[in-house]
Amino acid sequence: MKNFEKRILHDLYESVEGLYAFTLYSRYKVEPSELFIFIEKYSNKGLLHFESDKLELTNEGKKTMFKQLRKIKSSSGKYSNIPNEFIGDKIEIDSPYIPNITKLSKEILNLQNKGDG
Amino acid sequence: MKYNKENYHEVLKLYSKQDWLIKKEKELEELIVFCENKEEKILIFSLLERFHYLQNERLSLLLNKIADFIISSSGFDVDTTQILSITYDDEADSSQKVLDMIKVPLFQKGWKKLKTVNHYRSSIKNHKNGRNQIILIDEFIGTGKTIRNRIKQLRNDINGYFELKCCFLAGIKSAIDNLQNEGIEIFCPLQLKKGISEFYCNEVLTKTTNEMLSLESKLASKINEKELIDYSFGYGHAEALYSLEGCCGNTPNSVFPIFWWLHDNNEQCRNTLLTRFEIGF
Repeated sequence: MKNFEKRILHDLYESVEGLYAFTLYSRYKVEPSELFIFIEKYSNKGLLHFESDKLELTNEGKKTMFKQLRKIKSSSGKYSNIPNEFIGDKIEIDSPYIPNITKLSKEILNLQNKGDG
Repeated sequence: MKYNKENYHEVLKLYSKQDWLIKKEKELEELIVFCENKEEKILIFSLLERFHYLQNERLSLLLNKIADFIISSSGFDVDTTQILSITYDDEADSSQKVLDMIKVPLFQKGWKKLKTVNHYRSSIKNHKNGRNQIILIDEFIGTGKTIRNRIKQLRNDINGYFELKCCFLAGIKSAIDNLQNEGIEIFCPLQLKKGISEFYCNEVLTKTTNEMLSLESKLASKINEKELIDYSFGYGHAEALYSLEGCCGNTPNSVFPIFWWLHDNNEQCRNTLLTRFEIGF
């Protein structure tokens, strides 16, 4: 999937009543031929509906996008979805910091042990 | 090219009807820019929407229709028939191309002993050998001038009786009707109306005619020995909206020159949507 396709699908998912073709050209400078091929591709898959110059995701398209976005979120690494209540105060970059050895993860301790050797 | 909302919408709409234009985006953009006002653009979009650009599948369908006519409806017999291209000089032309293309469907449908003749003059020798049922074949009929000349020559050069029918892939309906009224039997599976004068009427016709004249006034009036005036609205004012895809075809001179004339009135080369091989260009 091309980058502009990802961006358009995301924008369509976020939109309430779809988006006009020209809006997408204004945002991403997508040539008419590229947009036409995009419309053909995703209409044929049943994910997109194009009428009166307006693009809109079908229910199937919305479900697919929802699954895609959830997948992206949950696969972004174990530190990316930390609930707010577990996030402490941030310190400035390069400010002095002494780690509490009791709170360091085993991975980091293992690394340090290897370094010591 | 920077699109405005209207042009972007029109181009997108055009692609849904004419997907061959997707591969000619730059040429299409140049043509849009060539139009100086909204009315000229609307005319060009309308002509392109109604354009018959024959791709392989449709070409094959038309060839099969001609083959069916020759075998089942012409009343001609394979042993006494010669299928003749209208080629008269030594230049390669589209009638030879169609002759070559039609031989396969005819062969497939059972005319194994088919006699094709790729030069007009050889028809006389074949007539002497008993092939007195003649089918003249060509790609496109715009005004009927060429076919009239060829039939006249044939009647003059062949001594003795022969039956004659003509087959074309496509052509302008009014030209075909005129020939049929003159008693010439024609089979043409794709018959087209003239792009402007048989589509618009009354004051809209006058307006669109003037718009096309205005567009043509921005083309070079002469390229070497070829005068634009001879091809204004297509040769003989045929106003054709037809071409075969890519290498399959040479755009007929019956097509509006705005789509294939090589230079503008500043003698700059144009990146045209269609290509016409024209001797003298």
